[in-house]
Amino acid sequence: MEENYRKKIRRFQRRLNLEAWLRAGTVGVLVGSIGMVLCLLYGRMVLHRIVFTESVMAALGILLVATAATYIMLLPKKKELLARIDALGLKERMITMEELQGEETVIAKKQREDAIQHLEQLDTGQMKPRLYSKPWIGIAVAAVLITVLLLVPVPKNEKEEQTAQNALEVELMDEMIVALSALIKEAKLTEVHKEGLQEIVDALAVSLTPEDSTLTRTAKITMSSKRLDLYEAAEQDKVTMLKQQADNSETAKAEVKSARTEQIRLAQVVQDMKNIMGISIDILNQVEGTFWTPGAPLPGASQEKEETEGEEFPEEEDMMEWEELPEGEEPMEGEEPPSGEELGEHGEQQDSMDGAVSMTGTELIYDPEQGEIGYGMVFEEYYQAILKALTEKEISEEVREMIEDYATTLE
Amino acid sequence: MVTEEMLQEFKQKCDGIYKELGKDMIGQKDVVEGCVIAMIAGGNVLLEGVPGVGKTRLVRSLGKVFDLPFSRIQFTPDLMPADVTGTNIIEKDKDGNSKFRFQPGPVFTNILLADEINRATPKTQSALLEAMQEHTVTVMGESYKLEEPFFVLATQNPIEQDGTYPLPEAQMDRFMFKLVITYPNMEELLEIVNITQKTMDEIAEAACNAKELLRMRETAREIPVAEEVMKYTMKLVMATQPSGDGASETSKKYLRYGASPRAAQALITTAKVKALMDGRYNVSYDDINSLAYPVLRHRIKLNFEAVTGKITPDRVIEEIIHELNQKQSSVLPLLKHKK
Repeated sequence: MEENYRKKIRRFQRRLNLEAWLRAGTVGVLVGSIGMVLCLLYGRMVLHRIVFTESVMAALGILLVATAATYIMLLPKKKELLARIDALGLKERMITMEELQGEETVIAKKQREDAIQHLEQLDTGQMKPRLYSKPWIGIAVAAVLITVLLLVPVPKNEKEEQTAQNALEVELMDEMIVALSALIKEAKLTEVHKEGLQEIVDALAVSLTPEDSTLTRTAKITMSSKRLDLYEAAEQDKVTMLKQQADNSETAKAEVKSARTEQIRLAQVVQDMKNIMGISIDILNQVEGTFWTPGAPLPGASQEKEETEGEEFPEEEDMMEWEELPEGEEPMEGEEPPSGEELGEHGEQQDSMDGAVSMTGTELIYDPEQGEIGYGMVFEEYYQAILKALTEKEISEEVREMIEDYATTLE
Repeated sequence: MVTEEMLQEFKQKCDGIYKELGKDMIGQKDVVEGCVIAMIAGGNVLLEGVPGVGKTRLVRSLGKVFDLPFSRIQFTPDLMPADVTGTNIIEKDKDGNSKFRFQPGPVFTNILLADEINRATPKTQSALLEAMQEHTVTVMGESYKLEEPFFVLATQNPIEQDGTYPLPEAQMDRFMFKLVITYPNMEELLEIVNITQKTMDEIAEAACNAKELLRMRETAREIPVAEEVMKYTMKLVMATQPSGDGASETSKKYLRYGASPRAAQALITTAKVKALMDGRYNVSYDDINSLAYPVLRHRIKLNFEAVTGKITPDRVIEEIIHELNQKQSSVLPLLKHKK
């Protein structure tokens, strides 16, 4: 009889364990769902993205922990088990028997016999699991989940936007370098000039890094543009010197002519390269959305390109005519190659960019009607503007150093 | 110490008592059972019912079935305490000397029927207080012990309230049960009429004597009560006390005051008897709940709101039980369960 009693109790215990699992699972699902909602909210509000996979993983983790913890809490003790059995119609026989355990009075024995007898008449199936029947909790959790997923907007992530912008800029820089290199390769220049220009492009390519800011990139391109100007001015200087030293021999004339032709081609290539750089700076500024114009000449140069598009560079025969012009008489704009008279006091070629402004971007330094200005005329003011900007403006260390290097090369 | 024989005897005697009472009392099973439980438990019973529903007949039958001396006092406004308890009378002995001799009143019996108890004055009603609780009578400073078992079975009429004196709370509390006798239904009425056509006398025979009754009481008192059931009983009683810590919302709303500790004692004592009569050797929640009505209905005092709202004490008790069960199952919803 005792053995049967124990078996029966164990069967009821198993049913209650199952019930505890089911109830713990319900609690686990509820807590897990809440955890998932919180994770999604965290992702949206703090990380600025939908962290669905992470949320699901977190929810599963919480579910498991909550289920286990709840199960331990719900695991029925013996007294609770007996009370549940009593609730099946045993009228508190079991809990009384438990309290009378060990007593050997007639009443205690009779009570025990009576309780066991009634217990044997019970079927374990009579103990139905008592589960939580509150569907509104599930509905509420689902509603919150859907609301979080659908209605709460993802705030803009500046960091991500910056990353995307940077990727675009890096790509743009690569394309610019490729375009510049291709231009040099296809140009009708001597190998010496090609190498010289390629060196400037390579130096620019090396200096550009993915970590650069838009401002830094713009400054580096501007600096390379200035190097191109310097390179071109130096070549111009050489041609002028050659012209001055040349005698009236046919050989000398031919040499001068050849040098000037090469110089004109170089000027055209340099102009095209600056146009490409100007377009790149334009795009950089548009990508960033701030339209900062560190040196308006380059964007201006692109305009110039548009204006002169379709015009053909003078052929060698035409250049011969320039040679015939009387000394001091200036050729027409657009046709005339740079001459020694146009060089500034430092012997460098004048800047020929329409609409050019100073580094500050506010002060006009030439008469726009004339359309040309000597480099020497603007150098002092340009240099002073750089120094002023370096001392007064908020410029990052990296850019500051670069500007200083650049200013040094001007000297 | 309770023996196997005592348990068997209890069962046999109970069967016999019900069998004999069934001869005189048609229907009214709850009232009959209540009276038997109270008598075995040693408590007094207040029977309430309109005239002619068998209150007096029930009491007379009980006297016969339990084979106990039976006295009846018809309470009237001019009834004096001495008419109930007895009095000292002057008597001359053989030598011609006068001396007081105590002449016992009708209270000196085993079963006292106090018919229409609410018609006597409070002074006379109070004469029963000591007898009901201590089973003693004190006259002129001398106490006289009543013979055991002693029961007071009082009746009162819920109508015709003119010229009546409602029982004071102290006396009410001394009644273990208040049983309400209702009108019989058609079948019961038919049977009652048929039986009484032959004879108006009670035909029940003795099924138990005083000694056996006392032994049955002793047996019932040994029935164990689980701790949880005991706690539940205390909570139930405390729930009726509107100003107490365990007051239920219902009692706060409808009661002026609740049941005394005597009610808790009565609940446990009678629940033991009921359990044993049902063939159980332990007390259940159901025993407590079913006995809460006769034990508590005369111990709780309705407030003005309940009276004007025609809320009955039974309704209040029902609400309190319901509320208590709800509370029991919702304190720790993860662990507790509804009974």
